[in-house]
Amino acid sequence: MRISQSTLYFGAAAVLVVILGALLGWFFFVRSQNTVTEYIDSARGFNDDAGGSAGGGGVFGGGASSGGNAGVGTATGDGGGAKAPRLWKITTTPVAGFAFRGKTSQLSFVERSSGNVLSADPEKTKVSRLTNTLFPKTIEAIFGTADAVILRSIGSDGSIETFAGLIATSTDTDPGGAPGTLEGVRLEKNILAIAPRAGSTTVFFIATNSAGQAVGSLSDWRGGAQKVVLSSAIVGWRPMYLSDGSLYILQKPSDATDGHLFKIRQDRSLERILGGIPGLVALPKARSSAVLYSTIEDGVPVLLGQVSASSTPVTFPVRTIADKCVWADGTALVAYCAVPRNPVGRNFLRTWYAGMVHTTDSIWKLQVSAGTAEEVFVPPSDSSLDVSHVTIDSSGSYLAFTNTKDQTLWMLALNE
Amino acid sequence: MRSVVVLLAVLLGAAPAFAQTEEAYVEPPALTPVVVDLLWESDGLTPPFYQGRSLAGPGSRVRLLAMPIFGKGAAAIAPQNLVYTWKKDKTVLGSLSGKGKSSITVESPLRYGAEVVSVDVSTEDGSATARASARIESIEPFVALYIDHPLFGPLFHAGLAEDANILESEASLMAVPFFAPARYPDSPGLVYEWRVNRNIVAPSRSTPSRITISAAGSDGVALVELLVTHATNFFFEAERTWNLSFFSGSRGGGGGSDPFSAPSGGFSE
Repeated sequence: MRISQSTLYFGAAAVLVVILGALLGWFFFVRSQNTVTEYIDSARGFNDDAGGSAGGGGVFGGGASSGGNAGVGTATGDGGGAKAPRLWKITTTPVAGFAFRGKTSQLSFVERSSGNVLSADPEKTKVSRLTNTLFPKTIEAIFGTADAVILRSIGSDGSIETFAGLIATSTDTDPGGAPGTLEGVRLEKNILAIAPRAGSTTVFFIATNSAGQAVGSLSDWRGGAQKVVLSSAIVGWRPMYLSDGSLYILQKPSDATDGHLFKIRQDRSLERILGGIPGLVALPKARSSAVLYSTIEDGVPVLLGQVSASSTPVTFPVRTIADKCVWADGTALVAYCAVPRNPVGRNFLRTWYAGMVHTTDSIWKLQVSAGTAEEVFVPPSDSSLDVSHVTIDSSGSYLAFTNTKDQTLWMLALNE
Repeated sequence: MRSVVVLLAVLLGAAPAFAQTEEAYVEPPALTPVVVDLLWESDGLTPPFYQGRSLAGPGSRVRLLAMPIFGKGAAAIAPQNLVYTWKKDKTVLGSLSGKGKSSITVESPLRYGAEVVSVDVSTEDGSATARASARIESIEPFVALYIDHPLFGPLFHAGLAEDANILESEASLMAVPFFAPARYPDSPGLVYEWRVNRNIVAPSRSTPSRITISAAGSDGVALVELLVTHATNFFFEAERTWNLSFFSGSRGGGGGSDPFSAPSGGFSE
């Protein structure tokens, strides 16, 4: 059978139309997926409103509104531009952990829902996604460096799972670039506590051995080159691995029961720093022997500071716990604390750690050498903040913290 | 329950050697400091990532660790070379005492009870001794209720109050009986009796600490009652009640009726 030339032309034209149609369909499909992505980011609270405006359609609904001098704003998406308000509500959904990126005022944080790492820039009121690797229901995230983060979650069998990840693509060199992946390794199950050395990828973690004893080990980021430095019949420790390499363990606190703080020396022996103090929560300072700590006296938190091991502690005129405090960098012994504005109830530590009670805090600046405290910020009445996990940038310009009521992430500019 | 650290610093050994002649008196080298801290915790249940200490709930076990400091620097005596004598109230725990036995595990006091555990630490020759003690009170168990959110996981930071609003039409709830003699909330031995609006709800066998309540698209209040007991420890019992108000956002459906008492269930596991 002979095919005419015109039939061939028609056939070729039909194939061309089909191809063009397929390409057009693909274009609209991709565009709709971008719309979905933008919608999801909006739902996470990163809307396109300018900072300081009301709104923020988060999963929990309702962003904070502006509030006079203590303006509150929510995060923006890719647009950004303006400097963030003094009190910036970065997320409307829970975060798992956060840290300032090196010497900058940019804050890396991890979403609880996805385990994605994001970055918030207060100079532009901008939030960028750094990774898109999915780690659902991340409960806790701890940063070593800006690009090294430990993600912790609960496995289906109830065990604690720990992933040590490194961000494959850094937006430091590619601002606004596509999110990178989080690559790393799963560490052993049921690590009780883990603390990367601040600013490094060396890790100290505590697990239990077959005898039920706590074993504390130093390791590299992938869990290799392990070196045991602690063996203890007590397993409830909080490790603190400071940027100067000093390593402390605090016995988990309880209101009316004595607590203890030890320093693990190079030779693995323990140096008693504080002990026999009811409800002890302690915060040692890097490159210093100063310690900020709190105790519970007759059900009331008492905050104290000690500038050196041999000095007499000073009692501050504020009623808070060291969990709500952070040391500022530098040699000056300055700390910032969130202080409950109303008296706390009995068994405060136990009930607060269990999420049963919440406080409404204001921010205070402490001069530890002088033993003085000055209130520097009172949140607006529509922003009731129960502050925890306080951190400060290296320049002392910004505080970041979570509101324990909903685990949302906030940032406060200190010098305004 | 405040542990009392008692510094005895009984420095025996050679008495001052006063010479017959007018030679200078030489102080014998003193072993200082001599002090012991007594740390304790229980192995009772706490939720993952809980930052507080586990206390002595009925049926749990208490771990105690003596941390002595006998001298410093090169003169320090290692803890494993010291002799530990443990007492529970006034009874010497002979089998748990001895050289290097710096830690013990004992049963928690009975419910509403308290016990004093003490430890005497001494050098092998008895030249230096220190004592520490801790009063351990049995703590009243309590149960906390958390939302296990489908996106965020368990919201351990936000325990539900006795009157709580839930801005969803359905919620998965997770109970944690604090300081129970168990490792996980769903450990065998823990028995959960759930009631919702007076109706018994049978939870899943594998996850008895959890139930899911669905308001079936309507608003309403669910009276949730929970009794947690232990199959073999009759002293462990924790009971609590919550009034949970569900807001589905579709107020037309429920009105003032009780959406949870519908024959269709309203509950699911």
